[in-house]
Amino acid sequence: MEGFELLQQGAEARLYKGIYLGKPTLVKERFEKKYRHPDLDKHLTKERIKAESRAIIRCKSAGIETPTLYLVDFTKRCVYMEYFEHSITAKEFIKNASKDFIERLSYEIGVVLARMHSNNIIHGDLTTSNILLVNKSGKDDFMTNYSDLKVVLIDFGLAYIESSAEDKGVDLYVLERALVSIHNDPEKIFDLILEAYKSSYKKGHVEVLLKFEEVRARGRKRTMVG
Amino acid sequence: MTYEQPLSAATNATIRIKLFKNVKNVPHLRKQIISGALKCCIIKPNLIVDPFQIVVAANKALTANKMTTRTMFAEILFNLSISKNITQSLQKFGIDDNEKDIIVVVIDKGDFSDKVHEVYEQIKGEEVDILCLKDLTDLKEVKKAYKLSDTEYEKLSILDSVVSRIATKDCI
Repeated sequence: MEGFELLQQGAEARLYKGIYLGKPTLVKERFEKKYRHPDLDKHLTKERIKAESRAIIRCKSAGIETPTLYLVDFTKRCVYMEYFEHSITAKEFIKNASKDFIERLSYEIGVVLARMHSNNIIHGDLTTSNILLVNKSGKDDFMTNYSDLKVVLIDFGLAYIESSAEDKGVDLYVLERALVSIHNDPEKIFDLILEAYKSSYKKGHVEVLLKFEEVRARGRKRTMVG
Repeated sequence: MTYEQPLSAATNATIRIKLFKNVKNVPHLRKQIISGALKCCIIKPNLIVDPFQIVVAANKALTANKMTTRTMFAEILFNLSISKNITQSLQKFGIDDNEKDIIVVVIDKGDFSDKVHEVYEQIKGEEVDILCLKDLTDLKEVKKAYKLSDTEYEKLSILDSVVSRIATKDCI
C-alpha cells in the first residue's frame, strides 16, 4: 500500500488512508487469513466485500449518506472509498456538544435508522463510532453551526438485508448499549432517537420495538436454553 | 481545459479527458476507433455528470485482471454502464454518427505520448473547457440510466451515487 498510511488494524481488515484518483480515500483491506484454506478464504472475503458494497449502495438508494465507493478490487481484497476529512464520530460529538446539538443529532439518527430499517437494511454494528458527523463546508468545526453538519453511516462490514423485526431490534439494542458507555443520561438521548424512529417508521416500528424490549430483557444473543 | 488524473499507481497511466463541440467528422472517427487505428475512447456527454465518473470507470478497466470487452476503450464504455450487456452499454455511452459534441478520453502510459497528440489532430471540431460538460449533462437521463430512486436523486450527490454504482458493478 504505497503512499497510504495505516490507520487501524482490526481482526477482519486493515484501514489505510491516502489520496487515490485525486480524492482523500480510505482503503479497507480484508487481509488473508492464514489459518483458513486459501480457496475458502478467497471465497469468504469476496462474499463479504460484496455484501458490504451492496449494503452501502442500498443505503444510498434509501437516501442515507454513506461513503462513496471508488474501486472494489477482489484480487487485492481491497475496497477504496471516500474518506471524510472533516468529520467527528457521534461518540466524540456527544461527549462534547451542547444539549441542543445532542438533541438534534438524536432526532436525526432516529430518522436515518427508520429509513434504513424500512428498507430492510440491518447495519449489524451500530455503535456511536460508526456514525459520523461531517462538516459540509470543509471546516473542522462541529460545535458552532449544526446545519453545517451531515450524518453519515460507516462500516457496513457486518451489514445484511433482512426484514425481520428481531434483527432490527438488535440494531437498536447495540446502539443503546453504545450510548450507555459515553453519556451520563443515555436514556434521554435514546428516547429522542426512538421518538424520531417511531414517527418516521410508521409501518413497522411497533413490531420492532416489541422485539427490542425482548432483546433488551435477554441481551443481544438468543437464549441457548431449549 | 483538459481534465488530467493519474490512475491507480500500479497502472502507471494517466487519463486525459477533453470535450469537443461541433465535431464535423464523427462518422470517420467512429470508423477509426472500431478499426483500432485511433487509440482513444469517445463518449456521449449526456450521461456524464463529471469527468471523475469517467476516471473511476477507466481506473476499473485498467486495474481489472481480465476485461469483459476486447479493448481498453470499449471496457471504459462498458464500465460506465451498470448493464452487463456489452452492446447496450456501448450504445448508451458511445456515440452514433449524428453526435456533434463528444468527450475524448486518452490513456497515456508514458510510452507512446506522441500518438496521444495524433488523436486530437484527427478531431475536426472546437475544443472547449471540460467544465462546459455540465451544460450537456441530462440529469433526468442519468437518473434513469443508473436507476437512482427519487429519494436518492433528491437527497444525495448525483456524482457520488453514480460513481459508487460504477465501482460496484460486479458486486450487485
